[in-house]
Amino acid sequence: MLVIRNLTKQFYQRNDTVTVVDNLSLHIKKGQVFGLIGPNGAGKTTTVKLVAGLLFPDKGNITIAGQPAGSLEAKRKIGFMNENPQFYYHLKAREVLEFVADLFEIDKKVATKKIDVLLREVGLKDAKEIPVRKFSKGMHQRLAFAVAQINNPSLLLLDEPLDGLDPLGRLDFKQMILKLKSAGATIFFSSHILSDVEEICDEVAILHRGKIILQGAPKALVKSSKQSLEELFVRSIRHEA
Amino acid sequence: MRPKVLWAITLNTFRETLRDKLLYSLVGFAVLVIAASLLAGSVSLGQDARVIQDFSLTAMLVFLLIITYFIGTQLVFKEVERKTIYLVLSKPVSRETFYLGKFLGLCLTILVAGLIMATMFVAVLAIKTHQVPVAAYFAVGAVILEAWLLTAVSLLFSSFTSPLSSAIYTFGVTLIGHGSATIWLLSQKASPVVRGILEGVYYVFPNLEKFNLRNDVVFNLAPDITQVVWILLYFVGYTAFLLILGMSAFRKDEF
Amino acid sequence: MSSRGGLGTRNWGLDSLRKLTIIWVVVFLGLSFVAQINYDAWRRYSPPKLIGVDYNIYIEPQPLSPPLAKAISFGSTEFLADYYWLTLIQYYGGGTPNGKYRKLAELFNVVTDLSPKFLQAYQTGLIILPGEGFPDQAIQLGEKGKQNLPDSWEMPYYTGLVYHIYKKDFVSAAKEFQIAATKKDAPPITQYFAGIYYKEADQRQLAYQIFKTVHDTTKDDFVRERSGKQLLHMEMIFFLEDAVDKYHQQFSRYPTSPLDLVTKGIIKELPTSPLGISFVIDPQSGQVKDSK
Repeated sequence: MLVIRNLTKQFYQRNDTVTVVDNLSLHIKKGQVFGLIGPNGAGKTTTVKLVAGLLFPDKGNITIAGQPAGSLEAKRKIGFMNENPQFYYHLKAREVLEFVADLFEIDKKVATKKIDVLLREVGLKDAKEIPVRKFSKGMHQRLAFAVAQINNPSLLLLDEPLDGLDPLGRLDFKQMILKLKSAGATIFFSSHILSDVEEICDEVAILHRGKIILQGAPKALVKSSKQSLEELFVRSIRHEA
Repeated sequence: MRPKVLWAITLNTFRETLRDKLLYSLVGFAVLVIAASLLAGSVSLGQDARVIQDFSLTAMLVFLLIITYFIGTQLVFKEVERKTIYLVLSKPVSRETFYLGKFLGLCLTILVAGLIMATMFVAVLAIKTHQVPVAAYFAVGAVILEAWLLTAVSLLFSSFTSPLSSAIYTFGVTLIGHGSATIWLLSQKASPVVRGILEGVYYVFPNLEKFNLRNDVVFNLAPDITQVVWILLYFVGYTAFLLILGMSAFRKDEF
Repeated sequence: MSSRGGLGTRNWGLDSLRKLTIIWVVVFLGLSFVAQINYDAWRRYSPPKLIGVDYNIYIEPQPLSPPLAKAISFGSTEFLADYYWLTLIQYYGGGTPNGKYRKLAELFNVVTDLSPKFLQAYQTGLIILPGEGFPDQAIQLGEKGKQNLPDSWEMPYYTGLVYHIYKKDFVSAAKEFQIAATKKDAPPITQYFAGIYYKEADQRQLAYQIFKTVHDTTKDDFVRERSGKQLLHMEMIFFLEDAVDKYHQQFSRYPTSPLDLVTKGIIKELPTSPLGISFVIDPQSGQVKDSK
């Protein structure tokens, strides 16, 4: 489903060149829930943006269901939710989803039904006609999650989906992700909240300074090292430092 | 480019700009100036028609241009700053469609603002002088075309520099564009090297005097059909050129 | 007073603070208002501080030079012309407490440079400028008007009037009126006036020709009638001048009055001018003139 090969991305700042993603390779199968974890500045967001086609790789390539990332065909297959999602202030929740549906050229009748369903699923049924500028952070994230699903994507790309949510919100989100997983969705998300990752992921990779330093199924990793995922994470990072 | 997607972005941009309080102040001021031209006309020793026409058309141009300078240069900047650009570019929308949609959305806003001002202008003129010269309508149309062309300029600048610098550069282009006749005259008298440079400037910078039909309204000189055709062709050609430049620069932008 | 709890009660502290704020705002705004009025009055009406200066430098508009004005106008040259036109009206209408309208000619120039076909500006300038002591500038303005509005009869006409009234240059006036007469829509009497001016300038033959042409060609009854009368009048003058020459030949001096010609038998009777003007003879030159 998602194949990343030798992905490298550098950013230029004044006199420095920083390698944010360093020769990264990953393979995510259909129906998997994959978690990319790492400390701040590890390159998680950059990686997700590269898959979404918002950034262009310096080296390597990314394919989504055989389509190159960044192409219109690939974008049709993904549902993207970025960190701290923002929407146009002048729109209501329903209008945001209608706008995105137009971008996918989804038929209006089909879209209207889907929008109702999605808003109900993310818990925003009563906020349908509220302008987004009045939304709380949690509501923003729920709406973004709805937006990511409007096109029935083959791959869900979520950048820190649980960041900043209160415990109730986190619980809702985890349940939504698990529900999608049981329906066969492929989900690739980044996070630094390890307990959540442990709960829902089939496989995780720890990213540090643009490189994967550890990868595997969470249960297997925990079992083999006899540590919690968090301890394992800290130890791996410190080891690399 | 898919028309439905383009239209969705155009409409969204249009509705977004309608929310900008600056827009309302500007349109409000323009309408006020046009109404005030009635007063100015009354102390002009009988030159009411002249004063109303000249003041209103110049007010229209100035305020539409301010909309261009301040809203046009922020169109893309705001999207990046507010991170709403991720919402759009992660969807199957080409960079070109996004760029063009922003442009067309603001053009639509300018059209609406222009029509409001024009309505006020025609009403005031009709009430005071009981006649509206045909030339006035052509002048209004040309003002709107000029604002659209400069929107493309401001959008181009804003794709590689800050909004404030873009506004200043676009203003500079406006001044040069209106001074093109002077530049041409200067070039004819200059040495060959300087002449080449000045003639180059004349052709490269937009010649905005083409869209200046305002001075003829006072004498009720409507443009003839040939003139109108050339003006429209120039507008299409030059604006398309600017948009294509802008789109190719924008294609490489990362967010 | 202490505040009470619950809805709908006043917090006295806040209310008096608001009242105080309003009072201070009014006081300071009023102060600046009064100061402004007094300052303006002082600037406008106090005598000029500079010696040898006969104008009020404070209320003078400072128009930009026409090329600069054009450069910053975004092409709206007619608009700027209107702006300076309104400035001009305010300037002239405002009165000068201390002397001449120094900037008047310059303002008319800026307006007409920005709007070369602004007919009323030229006309107004040609009427106002001479009266304010700028006849030469008025004539310059008229020349500009003739160049920029070649089809206008008003431009040479008004210029001619300036020559007549302020420069007493009747020949130039006559020439201007002749030019005006050739323009479309010129009043029928224009050509007639050219004749009058030549007559005033003692260019009699020319005047006579003009009156004859006017009389033969004009469609206006009043003008034909007047020019006919002028023709007769001039024929009488020529007749009298012939008589004066004969008198001179006979008596080696000029007659003191036209009656002499009759009494000495040169002519039978004095002609009566249809214009109701009587004739006099200049004793030095023998020229026959209208009595004024």
